[in-house]
Amino acid sequence: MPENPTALSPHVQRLVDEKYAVSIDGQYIVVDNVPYVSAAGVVSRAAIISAYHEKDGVENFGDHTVWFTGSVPCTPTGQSLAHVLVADTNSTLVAGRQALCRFSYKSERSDTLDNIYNKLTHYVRKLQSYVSAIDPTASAAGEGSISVRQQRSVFHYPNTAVARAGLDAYEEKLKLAKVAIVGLGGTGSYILDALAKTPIEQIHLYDDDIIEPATVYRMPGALTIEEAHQKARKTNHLRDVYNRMRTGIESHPVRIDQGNVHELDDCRFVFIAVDHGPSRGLIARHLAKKGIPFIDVGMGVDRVPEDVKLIARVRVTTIGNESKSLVDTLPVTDDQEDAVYNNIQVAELNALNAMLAIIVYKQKIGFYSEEVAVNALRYVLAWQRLLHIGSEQA
Amino acid sequence: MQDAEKQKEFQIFVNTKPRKVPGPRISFEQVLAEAGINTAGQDLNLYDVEWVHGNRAGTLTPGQSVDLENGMKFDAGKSNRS
Repeated sequence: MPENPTALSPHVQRLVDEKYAVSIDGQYIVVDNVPYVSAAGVVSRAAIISAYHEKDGVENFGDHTVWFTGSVPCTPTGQSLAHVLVADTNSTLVAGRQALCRFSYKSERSDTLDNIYNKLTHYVRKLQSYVSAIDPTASAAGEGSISVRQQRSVFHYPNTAVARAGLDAYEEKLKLAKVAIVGLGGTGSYILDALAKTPIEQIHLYDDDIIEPATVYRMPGALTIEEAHQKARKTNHLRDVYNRMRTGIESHPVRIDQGNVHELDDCRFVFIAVDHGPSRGLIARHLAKKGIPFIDVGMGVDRVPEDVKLIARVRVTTIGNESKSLVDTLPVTDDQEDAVYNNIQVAELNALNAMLAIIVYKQKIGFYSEEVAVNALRYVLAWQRLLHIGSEQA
Repeated sequence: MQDAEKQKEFQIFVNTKPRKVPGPRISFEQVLAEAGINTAGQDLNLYDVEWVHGNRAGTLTPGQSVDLENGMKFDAGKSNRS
């Protein structure tokens, strides 16, 4: 469960006691109403924001920098303090506020980063020192207030790297309501490994297969000998593993067929990572008809017996409204070739297939830029090349 | 180009192995045969054929063919496992 602190840390309490207007907003702490000199002789007020997370008495507040919602501060005579104080003037959305710059001012005092009180008051004092020459009565201290807004999160503990880098607006794009992975073999389980670490509300897993020792060699992480032999359903096992860090992983130890394919209808995105061609065809055609974007993955590894070496190719096919015709290119017939002795799979190729799919997915939802749209991608191992299928390069 | 068209046989690579094939073009089905893939009773749509030559690259689907050049590399196989 997301933690719910009942008492403020003594350092935050001290800020309130000294009459600062303090808010804890998700993974940030904000001091509002801080006076600074915005232009020659003009005193304005803005907020200082720091990454902040407190758990069991341990404060985590990132590095020595803070965000500032005001303009670049000046001296009383209007000289810019940009070179003294400001590390970055890119406008960034932080804790729901528009930060106009980021301060980086290292103190001579060794205790500045001992706690959040010291860190924030260090910046308040620095700004105040220029304000005092114009208005000796202006102060960040006022009524003294605290507001705490817990962000509802699927994670049991926050990804502090997001707050540290001020990536809220980017991370927000990953908050899809519902995504499904159909097929939790080697590739599907690596897809889950990456998806589980994004703030999707619900990740639904579909596979009727059980865990066997051989399958464990193609999954992320490691299982004990008992776990490898307990014949647990893959979806149940993976749900239990990823539930260690988050909520919202749903296990469906069933095969998707005509009778239940409608369960995917409210998904925002689907990953198909199955071996069985007819299942792939059924799901792909259904999703294309419903206008639900999806990625189908697949790979093949073959022997070159003369050399005792392997060759391989990895495929990522992305189907949305603009690429529906690709459904007809998917391998949807039942492959008669022996799935045990001729199904060579190696974990790094499963992982590569999965990560290529994840990167394309994150492009399609606008997290990564997509300067060239690629909907059919092949990696040919012997050439170490990624090929864009369809955009003929000949 | 003139010389290439006149040439009867081309030296190419299929699934990393050198092959000599008659020109001027090679089809999807011929690439699979050169790869030693037995397609009897199999749906050809289960197979992918990719080729590269220098900076150029392309794909073949059943029924398609491409102009041969010496040194072309082909990859043929399935991509349906997960």
